[in-house]
Amino acid sequence: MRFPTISKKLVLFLSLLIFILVVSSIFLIIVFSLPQLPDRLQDLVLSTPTEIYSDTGELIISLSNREEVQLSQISQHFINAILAMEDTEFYKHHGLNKKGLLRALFNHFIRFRRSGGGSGITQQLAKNMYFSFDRSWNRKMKDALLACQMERRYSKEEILEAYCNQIDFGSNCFGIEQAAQTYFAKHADELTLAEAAFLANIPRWPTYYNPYLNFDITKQRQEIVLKRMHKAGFISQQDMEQAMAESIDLKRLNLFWGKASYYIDYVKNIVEEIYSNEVLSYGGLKIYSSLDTRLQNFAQEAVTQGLIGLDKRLGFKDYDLASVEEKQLYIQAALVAMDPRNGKVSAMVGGRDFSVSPFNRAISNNRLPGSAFKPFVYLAAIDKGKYTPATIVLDSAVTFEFDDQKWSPPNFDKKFRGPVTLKTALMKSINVVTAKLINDIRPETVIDYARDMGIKSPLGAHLSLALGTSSVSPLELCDAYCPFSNGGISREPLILKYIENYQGKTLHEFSSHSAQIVDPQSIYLVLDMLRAAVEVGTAESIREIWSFDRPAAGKTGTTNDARDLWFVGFTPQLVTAVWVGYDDNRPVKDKNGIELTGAAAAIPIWVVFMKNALKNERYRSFPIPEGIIFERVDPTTGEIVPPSFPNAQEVALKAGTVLVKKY
Amino acid sequence: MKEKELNLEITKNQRLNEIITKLLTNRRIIITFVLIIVLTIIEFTTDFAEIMIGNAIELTNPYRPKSGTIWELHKKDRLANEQLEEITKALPDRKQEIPEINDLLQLKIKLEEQGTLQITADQFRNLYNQIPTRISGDIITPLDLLKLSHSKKWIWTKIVKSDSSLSFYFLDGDKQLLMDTYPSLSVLYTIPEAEQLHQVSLDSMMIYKGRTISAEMFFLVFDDLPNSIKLRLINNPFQLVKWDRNIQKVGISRYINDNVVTIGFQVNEGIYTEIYTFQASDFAVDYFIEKLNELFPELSLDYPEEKYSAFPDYF
Repeated sequence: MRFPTISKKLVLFLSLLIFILVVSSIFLIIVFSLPQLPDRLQDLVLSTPTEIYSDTGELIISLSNREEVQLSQISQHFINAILAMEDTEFYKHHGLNKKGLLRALFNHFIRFRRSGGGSGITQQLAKNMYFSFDRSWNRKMKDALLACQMERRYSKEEILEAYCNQIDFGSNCFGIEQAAQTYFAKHADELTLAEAAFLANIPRWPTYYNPYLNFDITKQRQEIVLKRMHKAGFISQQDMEQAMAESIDLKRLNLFWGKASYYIDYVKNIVEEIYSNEVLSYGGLKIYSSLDTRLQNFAQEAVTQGLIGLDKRLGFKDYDLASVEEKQLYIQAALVAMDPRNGKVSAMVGGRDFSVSPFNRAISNNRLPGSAFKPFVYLAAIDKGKYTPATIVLDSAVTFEFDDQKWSPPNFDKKFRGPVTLKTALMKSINVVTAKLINDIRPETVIDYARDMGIKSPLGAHLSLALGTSSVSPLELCDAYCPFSNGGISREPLILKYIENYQGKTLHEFSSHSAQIVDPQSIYLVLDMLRAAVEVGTAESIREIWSFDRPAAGKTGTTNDARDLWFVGFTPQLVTAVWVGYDDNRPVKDKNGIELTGAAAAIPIWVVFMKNALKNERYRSFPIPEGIIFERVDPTTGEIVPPSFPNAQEVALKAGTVLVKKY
Repeated sequence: MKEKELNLEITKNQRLNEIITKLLTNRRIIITFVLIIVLTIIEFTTDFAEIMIGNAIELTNPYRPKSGTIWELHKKDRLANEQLEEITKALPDRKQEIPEINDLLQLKIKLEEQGTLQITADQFRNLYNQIPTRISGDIITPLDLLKLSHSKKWIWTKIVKSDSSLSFYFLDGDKQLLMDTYPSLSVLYTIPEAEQLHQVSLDSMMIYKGRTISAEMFFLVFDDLPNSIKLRLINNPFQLVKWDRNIQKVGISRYINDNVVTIGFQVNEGIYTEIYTFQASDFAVDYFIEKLNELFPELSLDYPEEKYSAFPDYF
């Protein structure tokens, strides 16, 4: 009979032992799976963030969106607000806010309400620093265990400081310093009670309580924060009421925020290609770009306003009211502006809305240039010495045969004008004449010239190349027009100027490779023709409708069925290419089904941008190189005519060019 | 039925009472319960469990993995720093990049060797002043050079020579382009030959023929003239200071034109000579010649005459 008694106790003992062993093992397994803590919390703080600067040295963006500050540099109001909202017991507990935990458990299991607030500040810090954002019990347990160790290892001040520096405030900013700058244009130690309480609630649900999206809701939540602060004894009734009555004025420290997303994205891509993603994101680089913030603002504004105007014309509802899916179907635009004197890409807009579609249309070479490609054909023809701007070519129906195929290029307006000068042909964008030119000088010659000018995309060596049937990007087309504005000097587009490491040592210098690629006289002859396109040609709306009165030249481009609408225009100071079209390549037609042209869709954007961009610039004329003469010719015969001749056309010619005189 | 149900209810209550009585009289259970209560109170007042757990976990810290979001970032951070360190180490020593170029021959040799040179704005100015003006003007016009200098942005000049072209890039402190020129490649080959090409002399000019004196003779007389006369002869004496020892000869024009007489200075500009002129008052020139003839009677230099001759007063 004794044996069973002993056995029962033994079993009990052994069971207890096994239980303890199992619990201990599980505990140890969990503990050893916890991440290691560093000696000091600051040791894990990321190094200086990579920063991108404008051409004039303004900070455009800090890539980490996080700026560490010491606790002493944070407004006491904010610290109090955070303590009142997240963990009133913070200075009393050793890791776990048990009251909060019990309250959360009670709400969860008894009142069946999902409520946060169970985790104290230390636990939240542990979660944010080490774990993913799943809501499992396993993760919560690990948070709790790590929080206990953190309290053992670090002081309360260290924990609170680290917490304030890493919480998510929405709008892609982390930490109170960035939040203060993003929402109130001030530093963390300058926040008033009302502002501090306003910000303290945002981390609870950063996307929903984003003040730029839901200001009223966030303002209501501020009152809850203030009430809790009062209840916790941080502020008096009077302070609370005063702060509630105070108006909240949102203001960004970086007013340029969000206006150069495509440019910045392109800069990041270039730097990432040179170094690595790690170096870009964590290297603390200082990247100096060519971006001109003033021009970029104007570019963004011109594209936005231009597209709003087009939306109405095309029958779209207000873009802001459209769903994300609907927005994908809206008309798009891209704009690139370059300074032809040094190759700097001053402004770049790659689409209407980076947050909806980050695809950069300014650099992607998937759009046909149409007639905007023609100047390269005329340049090749003139520079080869076979043609002058006064040369007469017959604008008539023609059929070319090649590779057993026939091609009859149509004119845009379906009309034929008979004998015309080359100047008329380019300024009126006559397809037949351009096709005849390329047929004469051969596509390979045109390709050579286009390459020299700056076109890098693949170009098909066929006759239709003359009409822009090989796709290019707005950036390269803009670059390829620079020599027209610049006496035949080509420039490589300069996006970056130089890169420094965090100690200020220059790691990489960039320069725009330049070369005199075409005789300045030949260039000037084409420039003169492109000026005529603006004065009396396909781009005359620049003068007639938009009253742009500076010396300018340029070329429109409209592809078949109006799928790509272009205008590339320039002054001596600035070359700007504008593209308009749909991402899915459908024709751009207005409400009545009428196709739009480059002049109708792209020129308004170009003009609005150029007017603003050049507002403070002196009027400059295109310099005329030595050896250029001007003659008045009969536009139907190309013969020199007396001054009294009606409808004479003035053409620029190289000195020594022999033209027949009509008198 | 009701009676049966009532009995069942009584039985249930009796059993419950029995269990409660048993529990309340069972010492172990009471002790355990009290212990739990006491431990809970202690935990809520002293946090002993958290402290103990914290201490226990702390002991394991060195043996735990460096995992989790922040360690991943930390690794990337370190990786980035390592890569940056390598990039920085691989950078050339920029101080050695500025070549020692003091004359045109050095420029040509270096360009032949390296193809590309980057020199300071001052170095370029120095070289520019060594080149005969008709050649230097092809590189950059003096007016453009003045504009560059006055912009105060010009710090560097990059010169690139390829097989077929020569390019000059005028850059700012950030090595960004301010201006560029593309003179003919022949400029480079003309420069070292400039000595032969540009050896002008006062003696070869009609208006100074037989009317030149050495710099020493000029200054022997000039230095003793009253300041008022000196300034009527040379209205910008600073220029004389600049040339001083490089002046080879001085010529006095044989003609007076609107009470003005041209004085020519033949100046050694390195590998070539250049002629510079001043417009002097005829009265001062007469005074100078008088003193010159007194000091060097063998010269017996004629006074300038009013211009009646067919010779133009330029060279």
